[in-house]
Amino acid sequence: MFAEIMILVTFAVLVIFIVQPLFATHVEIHSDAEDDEMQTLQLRKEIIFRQIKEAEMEHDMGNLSDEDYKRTRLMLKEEASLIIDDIEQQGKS
Amino acid sequence: MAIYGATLLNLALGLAVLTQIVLFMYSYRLVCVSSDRSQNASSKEYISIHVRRRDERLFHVGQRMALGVSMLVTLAAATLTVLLVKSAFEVDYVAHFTSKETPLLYKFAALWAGQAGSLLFWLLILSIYSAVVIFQNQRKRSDLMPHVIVVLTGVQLFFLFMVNFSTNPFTPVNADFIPSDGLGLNPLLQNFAMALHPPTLYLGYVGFTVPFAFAIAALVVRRVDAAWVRGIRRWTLFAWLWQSIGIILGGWWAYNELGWGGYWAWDPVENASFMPWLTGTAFVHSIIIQEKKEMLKTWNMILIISTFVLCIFGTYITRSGAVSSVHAFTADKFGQLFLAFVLVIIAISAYLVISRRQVLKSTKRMESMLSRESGFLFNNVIFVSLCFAVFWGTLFPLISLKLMGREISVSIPFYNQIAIPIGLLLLTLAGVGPLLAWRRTSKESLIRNFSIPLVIGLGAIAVFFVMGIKSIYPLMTLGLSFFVLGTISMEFYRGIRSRTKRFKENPFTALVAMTSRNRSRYGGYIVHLGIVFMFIGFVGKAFDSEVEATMSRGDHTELAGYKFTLEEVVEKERPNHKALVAELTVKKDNKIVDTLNPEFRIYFPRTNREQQHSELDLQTGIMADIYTVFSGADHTRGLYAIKIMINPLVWWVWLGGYFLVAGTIIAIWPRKKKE
Repeated sequence: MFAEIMILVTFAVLVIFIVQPLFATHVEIHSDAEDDEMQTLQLRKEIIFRQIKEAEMEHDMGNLSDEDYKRTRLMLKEEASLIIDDIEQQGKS
Repeated sequence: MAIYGATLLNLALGLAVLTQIVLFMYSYRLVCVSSDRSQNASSKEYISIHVRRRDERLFHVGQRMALGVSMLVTLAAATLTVLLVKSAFEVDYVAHFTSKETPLLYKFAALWAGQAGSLLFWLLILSIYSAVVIFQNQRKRSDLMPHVIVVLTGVQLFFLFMVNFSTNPFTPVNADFIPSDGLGLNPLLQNFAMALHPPTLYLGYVGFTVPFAFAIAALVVRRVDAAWVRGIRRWTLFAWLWQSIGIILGGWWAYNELGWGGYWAWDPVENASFMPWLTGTAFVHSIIIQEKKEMLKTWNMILIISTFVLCIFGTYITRSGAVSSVHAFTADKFGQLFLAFVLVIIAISAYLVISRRQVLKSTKRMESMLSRESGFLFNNVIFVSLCFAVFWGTLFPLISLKLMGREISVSIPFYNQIAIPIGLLLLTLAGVGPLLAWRRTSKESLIRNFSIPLVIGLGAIAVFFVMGIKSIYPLMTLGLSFFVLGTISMEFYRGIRSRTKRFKENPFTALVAMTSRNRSRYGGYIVHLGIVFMFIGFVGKAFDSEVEATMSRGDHTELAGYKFTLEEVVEKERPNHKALVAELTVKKDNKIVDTLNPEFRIYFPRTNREQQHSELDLQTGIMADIYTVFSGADHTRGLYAIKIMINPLVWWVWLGGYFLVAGTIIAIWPRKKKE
């Protein structure tokens, strides 16, 4: 008998917990594809900026020669400016 | 109580099916919000109603259903634990894996001691992970989440099917009476490390389900950029950490309990845990390239899918009885279900990868072979090659038996022949990789970064050669280990020097600051340090020595400069076994070094379940372990078989394990969010 009561209680709690969102008056709207694209670009920008910092640190430590550091920094900066352009264009549209 | 547990599993199965249906309806817009409902919404929402906006309430219901499945599974596992602790022998599983004398800790451990219980335990971990993933992502990554939940509950569904219809842990005993006592837990499993080894390994095995679920979701929604990789990086490391701990604990248990003096035997079940670890390690490295360089997208997908497939395949190997192993559960006809599940995962994943090949294409190319990218790629190739070799060695006996009808066993020399040179290559890369620059490394940088470590490595080879180590592999391993130690030390030294100059910090503050600001980098170095220590420990295996002697009280034997005397053998009665305890004094240069007490135990004495077991004793040292095993006894005649081993450098393997764990925790530890 105890097991049967436990089963009933568990079932009731579960059903109430699951169907509760159906009676909600406010439902959050999730981000759409454009937001996702913007998020991706922001993430790319963040990653490139981090890489520039890392290259600087490697250079300070003496792991990167001046030549390697200048080349890496230039490439990363070019990449970053392209991403920033894309972000601006996305913002306008 | 057993009925309650069984019903919970039934309910969980039904709810998992419903979750799949609801989230499918949500993802493919089979149910949408009505246009009336959005009349009052903003203009942006109004426009999007014409493209059939998803009903978010459905997603929330789906989420809660998935949480419900997790809740039911947790309750079921808790019910089984209560039954085990209460010795409810009317349940077959409880009667099989516990007895009245089983200590409380091992009654808990009995949850994962048998087939049915361990499947439920697997499900429990997956359920906890699923709940954490849902809570973590409640407010973000919403486009991926429905698919992530579908994959997670899909895997849960399979395991729920198994525990409901294949091996139900709540099945009553197949008899008209309730047994007065259970069979008890296997004595070999009554060990603290063994109580922890399966849960840690499962935390790893099951943990890889999360990155796999995100990978499949990313493929489904065609968002395979750096975002999904960043989202699962910490989860991957978490799973990898537990898998590593599980493997190390398994080795520690084998060394401290089985009495053969080793920690790794290339047993099929050991291999089953090692294979996903190898591909998982490759993945941990290669996602760095995807995150930083947007390369290797397809490769990363293949790696994480392979890792998950190998986790399930490992479970198949353990449970099906397909390969013979000391670890394997007894043969089970439902092993084929695991194989079918593996094939389904491979088929779905292959379809997704092939159909998304356009979005998976990398836009960038490797610029130079002397770059960190190529170092990572090379490391990946080596990890995967080793995995393939282990896979082949594990399955070859099975293939040979099925195709040619011949039973062939692949033994340790096969694996060693392949694993040692590959391991040395990996060790080399652990030193070389971090010193290469991204994109291209100039000759100048190469010379500056490698000259000192190279001198250290070559110097170490010369010193060890003079000390008498002439074998090529031990010499190379030690040389490479010192080379990698050199590169890592240089990295720390240069980092500290740079900070002390720039910020005027003292060296300790500089060390803490640079590590906490670059956790993955320096955590990674500490992991590499751990790997180096482990390799130093592996070298010791080449210099093991042993002697086995039949001794009476007062007899002595000698090995590697030590003198072992059997002083006494005492008989002891304990709750679930009786033991003969040897008192073995160890002397060096006529001074007592230690007294060791290996035991020869008889579990369930004077019953038809009588089982002999040797409980070894050892003295651990930085240079060598003194390892003694009481392997047999003729107590009436006073004759005792004692095996003694000197195992050099094993301590370094465990030290490496601590470093590996510490380094991974540092790498996982979240950064403080900037204001």
